[in-house]
Amino acid sequence: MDRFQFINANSAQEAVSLLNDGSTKSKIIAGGQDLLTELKEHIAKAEKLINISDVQELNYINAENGSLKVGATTTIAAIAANGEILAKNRALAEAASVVGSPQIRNQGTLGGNLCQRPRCWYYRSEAYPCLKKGGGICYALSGRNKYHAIFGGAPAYYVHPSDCATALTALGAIIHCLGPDGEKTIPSEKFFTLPSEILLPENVLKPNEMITAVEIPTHNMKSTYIKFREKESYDWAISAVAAALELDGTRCVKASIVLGGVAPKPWRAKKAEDVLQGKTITESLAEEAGEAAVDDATALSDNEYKIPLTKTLVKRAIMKLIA
Amino acid sequence: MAKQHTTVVGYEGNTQSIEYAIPENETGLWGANFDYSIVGKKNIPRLDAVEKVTGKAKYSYDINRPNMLHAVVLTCPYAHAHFEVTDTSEAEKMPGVKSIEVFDEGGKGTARFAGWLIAMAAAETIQQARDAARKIKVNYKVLPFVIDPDEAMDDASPRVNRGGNVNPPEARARDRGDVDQGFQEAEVIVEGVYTTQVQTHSCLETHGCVAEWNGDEVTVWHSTQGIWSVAGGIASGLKDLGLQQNNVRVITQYMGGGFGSKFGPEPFGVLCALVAKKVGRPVKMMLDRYTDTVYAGNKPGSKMYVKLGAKKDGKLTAIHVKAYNYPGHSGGSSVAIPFMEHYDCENIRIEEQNVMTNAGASRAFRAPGRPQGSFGIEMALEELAMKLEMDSYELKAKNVSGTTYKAVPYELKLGAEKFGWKEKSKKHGSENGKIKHGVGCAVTFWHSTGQDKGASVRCTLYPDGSVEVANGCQDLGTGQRTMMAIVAAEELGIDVGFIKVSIGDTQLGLNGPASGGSTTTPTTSPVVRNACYQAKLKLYEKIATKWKTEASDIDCKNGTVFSKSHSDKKMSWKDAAAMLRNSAITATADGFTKPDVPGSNTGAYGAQFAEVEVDTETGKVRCTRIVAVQDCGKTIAKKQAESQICGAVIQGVACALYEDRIMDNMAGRQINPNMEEYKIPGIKETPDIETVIVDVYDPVVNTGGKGLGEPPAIPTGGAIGCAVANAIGVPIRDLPITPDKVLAALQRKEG
Repeated sequence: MDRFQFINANSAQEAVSLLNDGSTKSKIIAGGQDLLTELKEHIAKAEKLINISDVQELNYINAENGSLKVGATTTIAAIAANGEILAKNRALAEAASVVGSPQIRNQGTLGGNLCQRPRCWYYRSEAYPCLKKGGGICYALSGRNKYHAIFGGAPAYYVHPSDCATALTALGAIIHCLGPDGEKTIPSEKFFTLPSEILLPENVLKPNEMITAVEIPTHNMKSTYIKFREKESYDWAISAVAAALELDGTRCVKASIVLGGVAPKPWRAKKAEDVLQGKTITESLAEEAGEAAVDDATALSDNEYKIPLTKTLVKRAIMKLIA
Repeated sequence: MAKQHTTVVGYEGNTQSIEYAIPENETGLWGANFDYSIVGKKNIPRLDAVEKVTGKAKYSYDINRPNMLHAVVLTCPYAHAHFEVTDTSEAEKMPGVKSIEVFDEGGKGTARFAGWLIAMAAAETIQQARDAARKIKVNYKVLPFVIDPDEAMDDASPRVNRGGNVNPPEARARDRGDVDQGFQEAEVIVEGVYTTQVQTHSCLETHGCVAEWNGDEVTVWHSTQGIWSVAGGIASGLKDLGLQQNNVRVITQYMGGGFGSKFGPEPFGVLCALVAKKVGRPVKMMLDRYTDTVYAGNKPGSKMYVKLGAKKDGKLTAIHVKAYNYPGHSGGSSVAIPFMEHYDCENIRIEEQNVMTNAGASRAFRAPGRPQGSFGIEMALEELAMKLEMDSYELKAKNVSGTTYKAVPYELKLGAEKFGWKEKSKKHGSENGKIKHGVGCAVTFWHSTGQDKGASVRCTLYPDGSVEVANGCQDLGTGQRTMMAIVAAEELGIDVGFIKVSIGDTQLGLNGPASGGSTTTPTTSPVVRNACYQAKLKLYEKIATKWKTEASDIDCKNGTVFSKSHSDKKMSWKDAAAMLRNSAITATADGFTKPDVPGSNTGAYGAQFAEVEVDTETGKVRCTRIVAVQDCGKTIAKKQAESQICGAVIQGVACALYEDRIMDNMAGRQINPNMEEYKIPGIKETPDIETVIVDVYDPVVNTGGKGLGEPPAIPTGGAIGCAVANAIGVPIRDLPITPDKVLAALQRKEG
C-alpha cells in the first residue's frame, strides 16, 4: 500500500472542505472495507484519506411518519438489526443482513456499501489494465465471465456489488449528498450509472462530494430481497432481486422490481413490472413476470445460467410477497 | 531373541486368534483381548486445545525475534516468460531496506507459470519490504503459454517445458487380468468422461519461516510437515557458507495446516537463512495469500475416460480407464488406485498420462490422486446402477469383499444402517417438486504404512512420577502429541496427566517421520510403546529387587504398580518412581519390528454416505448430511480421529461443490487467488457430519494403529456426486458441481 495521510473529520462539512482543498487524490474513508483492499492491491490511489467514521451526525436511523432516513456512516449491522426498517422496508433490512460477512457488516457503512467498486476479478487484479482502470479493454468480454453482467454491460461487463443499492432502488430511495456547492438529493434510480454513461466510477457522485444520508419516502409497499450466492457464509450476489409491491389483497397496484448482481447498476426490470401492474398475482403471473424480467438479457460465454436463475428469483420474490 | 505371543485380531463378527513373534526388548500387540485402561475407554481431549484457542500456542507465523527483519517475495506476473532482474538499486535505496536477493543465479531464468519466484526483499517492516519488492526492476520477454489442458495436448501448442506437454509420450498402463475378455463377458456397458478440478491447499497458515543465527548455528522456525527434510535442505542449500546440518536446528511446534504441501525447505527458506547470515539479523518471511495460492502447490485436476462392463446382476467384469492428470508445469499424479482397489474386478486396464500447462505445480494433497479416482469409479458405478435400474448401494455392496483385516463390506453395511439408506433411497430422479433430494455412497481405502526404521523415541521417567516422551516428528494439526501421550500412558499404566510430549524440534536428536501419507501414527506409536516398555522394565527391576521377584512379574494399571504373583505387593506409581531418588530412567527405542503376520495389511478402510438437496430452479446443491464410517486399525485417540474425519469431509464437500482454481485464458493467471472468489466452504456450507469409527485389530504394528489423515478425504466427493445424480436423475460429471453446471445439465435433460 502506498503511503497516505490520514485525517479525522469532525463533521460532514469539514470532511467536504478537506476533500476540496485542492489535492486531487483525497478520498473519504469510513468502514474501509472496500477502499483499504483497493489500496492494498494498488487498484486505487490516495494521498489523503479523510476519516468520517467518528462523525456522529452521520450515524443515525430516523424512522418517522412512515419515512426513513439513515445516515451514511450507519453500519450495515445496525440497519440489519433495526426493527423499524424490518417492518416498513423489509427489502433493505434483508439486503443488509446478507452483506459480506458478520465482520464486514459490523465495520462497513451504508455510504461505503453504495460506493463499493466492482468485484470483477480483472478489475481487482493490478496485472490487468482493464477499462475500469483506465486501460483499453474489458477482459471479461472474452475472458472468464461466470460472475459477470447479463444486462447493460457494454463496454464493461462488471456487476454492481451492493446489496443495499438494489433494495434501495426498488424502494424509491433518495441519496443525500454534500459537495462544495452544498447539499443535493439524487434519486437512487439516477444515482447509479451504466459504463456506457459514465465509465468511472459507478455513480454520479463527483470526487469532491460525499453521501451523507439515504432517505426512503413514505410508501405502502411490501418488499423483500432475495440474494443468490454460491456460498451462504460469505459471497457477493450472483443474482439478486429486490421486489416492492403495493397490494390490494393479491392485486398488484404498483410494482417495483430491481435486479442485483446481473448488471453494472441496480437493474430495473421494467417489463416484469408491466406484467404485474393492475393484475391479481398468481404463480403463473409471477412466472410470466420472471420471464419478462430476463427478456432483454444477453449471456456471455460462461454466464448463461444467470438467466434462468434470475427468472426463478423474480418469481420467488413476488410469490413471497403474497404468501 | 524373538518371543512368541498370541492375540486376537479382526473386527466385530469377524475375529480370530493368531500367533506371532517379536524380539524380547519390544512389547507385544495390544489386540482385541487386551485389557485397555485408556485407549477406547477414556475420551481424552486434545492436550494442546486450550493453548490453541487462547493463542498461547505459537505458530511459525507468530514467531517474532528481537531485531527481526521482514521479507517479501516478488513473483512473475506472466504465465511464461524469460526474465532478468536488471536493477535492484532503487529497491535497495527504499526506506528500511536491508537486502534484495534473487532466487535464480544471476537473477535470470524462464518462468513457467504466473507466480514463479523471482526475488526477495528484506526490510525493517513488512510494509517497507512490500514497497521495496515493487521497485525491483525485472525485464520480461513474454512467451506463448498454454493453460487449457485439452489445448496443451495439441502438438502445435506452446511447450511448457523442454519435451512434449504430454508425459510420458506413451501412456503408462497398469493391467490386471484380460480387459478385452472382461468386456466380452459383460452384459451391460457404461461409459463416461469425468473431470475433477484443481483444488489449492489453502492452509490457514501460509508457507514460510523465521531464520536466526547464533554464531555458526542457525535456527529456523518453519511451517513444515517435515522438520528433518527442512534441516537437510537448509544445510545443503548453504553448504557454500560452510554450514553443516549439525549447526541447523528446525522447530515446528504448531502449524496451521499443510495437507501435503509443506515438506521441503522451500527456496525462500534457504534465502531467509542466507539473508539472516549476511545482514546479521533474524529474518521472517511468510507468504501472502496470493503467493501461497498460486505458488505453493495444488491438487492436480484430471480427466478420466471410464468404461465399465458388468453382468446384469451388477457384478463388474471389466474396468477400462484412460486418464489425463493436470499437474501444472511440473509434478504428476495417478488416479489408478480407486479404480483398481476400491471394488472387486478381475479385468482392469488403466492408462495414464500427465498433461503439462503453464500453471502452478501440483504437490501432494491429502490422498494424492485418490479423491479424483474415487469420483471417477463411484460416478461410473452410479451410472451403471441407473442403467440397470438398481439401487446403487446394492450394486456397490455386491462388488466389495473383505478379510479379517479388511472390513469394507461390514463398514458399508453399518453405514447404510446408520444413514437410513433403505428409507431414504429412491429411484434416480423420481422425486417430484422443484427441490429434489438424493443419496449416494462411496467406499475408501488407503495404505497407512508405518516405517519400521522411521522413528526414535526417548522415554524418561522422573523421580516425581512425571514422564517425558520425545520424538523428532511434528504435529501437522492431527493431535500427534495427544496420540503419543495416550499410547505412553496406556503402556505405563498411568494417567495421561503424567506425560509430557516433546516433538517438533530437530535438536531433540531423535529421528522422526515427516507428517505425510497417514504414516505418523503407525510409525511413531509402536516405538513410543517400545521406549516406555524398556523404561518401565528398568524401574520394575529396582522394584523386583525390593519385592524379591522378577521384573516380568510386575505390572502397572491405573497408577498402581503390583506383583502379578503376590497381590498384596503393590505401591502407587509415584512411590515407585520415588525410588529413583536423584536420578532418572531413560530408554530410547529405535524403530520397531513388524509382527509380520500373514494376511495382515496396512489398509485403512471405510464408507461414506451423503445426502443432498438440489434446487432445480437455481441449480444450487447443498450437502445436508454425511455419515462417515472409518477404521484406522485400532483407534488410539478417538476425539482426534473424529476431528480428522470431519476435516477430511469438509475438504471433500469443498471439492464436490465449491473450490475451483479458475485460470484466466487471456493472460494465463489464476483469476481467483483469494478467499473471496476461491470458495472455501464456511459454516453454512458444512453438512451435519456423523462419524462412525470401527476398530479393526490388525497385527501390522504393536499398537494396531493406522493413520487417518488421508482415508476419509477420499470418498466424500464421489458420494456427493452420486447423491446429486440420484436426486436429479442426470449425472454431473465435472467437479465442482456448481449451479451453472446443474442448470445446464437439467436443461439438456429436458431438451
